[in-house]
Amino acid sequence: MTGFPDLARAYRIASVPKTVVGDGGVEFVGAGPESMLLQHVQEAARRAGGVVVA
Amino acid sequence: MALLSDEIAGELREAFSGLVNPVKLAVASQALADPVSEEVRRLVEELAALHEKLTAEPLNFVLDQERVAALGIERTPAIAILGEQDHGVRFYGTPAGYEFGSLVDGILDVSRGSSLLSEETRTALATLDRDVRLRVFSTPT
Repeated sequence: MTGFPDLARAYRIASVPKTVVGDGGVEFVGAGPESMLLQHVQEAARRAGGVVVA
Repeated sequence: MALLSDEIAGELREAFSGLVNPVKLAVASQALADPVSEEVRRLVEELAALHEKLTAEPLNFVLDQERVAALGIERTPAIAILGEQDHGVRFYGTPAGYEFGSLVDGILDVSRGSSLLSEETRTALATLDRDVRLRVFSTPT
């Protein structure tokens, strides 16, 4: 975060750890259950125009 | 002078006894524009010397542009953790403090070619029709 201030600004990093998933605005701060991470990844793929075959 | 103390080197050798498949650490640095990245290169070379399954591939961010681009490395310092296949794991910045442990864990995961994800999650991820990039921001503590 401190090493790359341009990225910290671009991804609005105010606290860490912060995970940015894809480039469509999906993100979360801190940790969570695996199911939450999966949901975020699926949402990021959906926003990127991908089709999630459930 | 070595960056890793004898004590830390010993602990790392023990951790690296868990290595399964060979891992190559491609480290991109540039001495003039980013002196800190040279320290990271030295650190990676010291790490690679600790176990026969580890190798370092030092890259000059400017001169080795083709290889750097092929690895998708966008800035320095960068470490691409490459196993039998490239799982896309990249570590940017200085692996200091707690993040040094993250680097070591990353090396072990890539060597195993596996992660701690459940079978259910893996099955769901396999249905994605495109790559999704995860950027995890942290700060050395």
